[in-house]
Amino acid sequence: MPLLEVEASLTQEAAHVMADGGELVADERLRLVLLCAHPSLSPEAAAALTLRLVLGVATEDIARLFLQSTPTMAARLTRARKRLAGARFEVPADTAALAARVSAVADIAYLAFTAGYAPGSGPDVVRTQLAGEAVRLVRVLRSLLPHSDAEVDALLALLLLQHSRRDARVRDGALVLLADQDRTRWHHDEIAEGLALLEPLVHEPPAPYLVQALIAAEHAIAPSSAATAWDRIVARYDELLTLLDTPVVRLNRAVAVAEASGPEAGLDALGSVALSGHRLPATRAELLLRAGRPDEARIAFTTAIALCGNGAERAHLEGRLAEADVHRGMQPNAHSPSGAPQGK
Amino acid sequence: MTTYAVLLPADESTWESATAEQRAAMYEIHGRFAAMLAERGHKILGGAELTHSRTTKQVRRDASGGVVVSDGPFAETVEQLTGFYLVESDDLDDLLEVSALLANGGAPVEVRATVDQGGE
Repeated sequence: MPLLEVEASLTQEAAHVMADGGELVADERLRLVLLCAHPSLSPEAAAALTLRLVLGVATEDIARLFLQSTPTMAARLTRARKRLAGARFEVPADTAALAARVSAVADIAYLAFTAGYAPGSGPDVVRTQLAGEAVRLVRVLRSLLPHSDAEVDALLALLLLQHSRRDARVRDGALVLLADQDRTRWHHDEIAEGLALLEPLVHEPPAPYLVQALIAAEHAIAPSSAATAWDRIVARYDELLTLLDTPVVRLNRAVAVAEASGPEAGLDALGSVALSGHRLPATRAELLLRAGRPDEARIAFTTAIALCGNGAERAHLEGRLAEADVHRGMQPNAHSPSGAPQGK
Repeated sequence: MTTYAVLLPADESTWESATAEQRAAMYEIHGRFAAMLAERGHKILGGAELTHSRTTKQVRRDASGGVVVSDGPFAETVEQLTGFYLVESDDLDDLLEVSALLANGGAPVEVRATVDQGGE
């Protein structure tokens, strides 16, 4: 019984809040955004609930975006609402407290974006719709804030710069790496918007989204992979490591080091990347191939393929493995794990 | 085909005190394990690295039938289950050979067949 009441009142409130765009309503809507980012919810549940209540995305669409069945997603949304039963969330008057809550919403939007941009499993290289919804969420958040927030602006810039590459990232259903992308297919209006957002922030103190956005901006302004300011990107990653030392940041830094100082330097940098899954061996394989070590590259590609759950990415890795075999002066696929039940 | 659980009991303090380089080396071994399984015709169905055993929650019934949730198990032994794979294979001997890759530093690897319910 109480559950039903909570559901009805939350849904009603959401409908009311979204009804029109007056100032009072904007404040109500901000309250709803902050409520959905309540710490009692898992980030995934918070992301789903935010899409449902703040952006009004239908449950079946959210299910599709997160690769779940509709009943599963409906049950998760119901449980999330139930958890929020009785939780009232006023917009904190204290600037620091508000900033902390806004930061939680930003993290949720970023999680939704990355889930769409690089799905860990499934047939799609990118699910641009989910990424697009995340961009929309950050826009809404930004429009609702009483004061501008540098990290929210930086996050919007980061998402726009990454999202702008979506059409160039896939060709015939296959993944195209940054270096090989047709840069005329990038959305240059979105790049311009992202760069404009960053301009006033360049001299702000470094913060995680800002530094990541500045890295994305270096790629966005480079005419080609070869003409990218890789030394500046390495310096940015060193800056990011002091703020956010994660294996993924270390991995990306190693890639930049390889571009700036050669594949052997990149391989050295990979030595401190403690990351499970296919991304580390895939990166090592590319660097080994570039370093003229195709035998070791083949082993690393085989490892990456065995660990990769995303169909499009695995197809790309299989293509690279064949390339490594060409470099070894062998028939492509001569030793491929054809006996292994890899397919779906 | 039989599905096997490859269980990895180990001293958790070794992992907790490991450097980034040592952890990277360990993940590399697991990568080689996965690659070798695929090359030899075994198939990984699933698996996971587990968080430290101190994060375990226990759900029990007390004498009156009520549900009790507690932290635990705080086992006496140093070695705890740290992770597992589920591997489909038709050659246990070969699977054991590949599993030897993961047996190092004194920690054993346990391979156990799951019960085949004969449903298919």
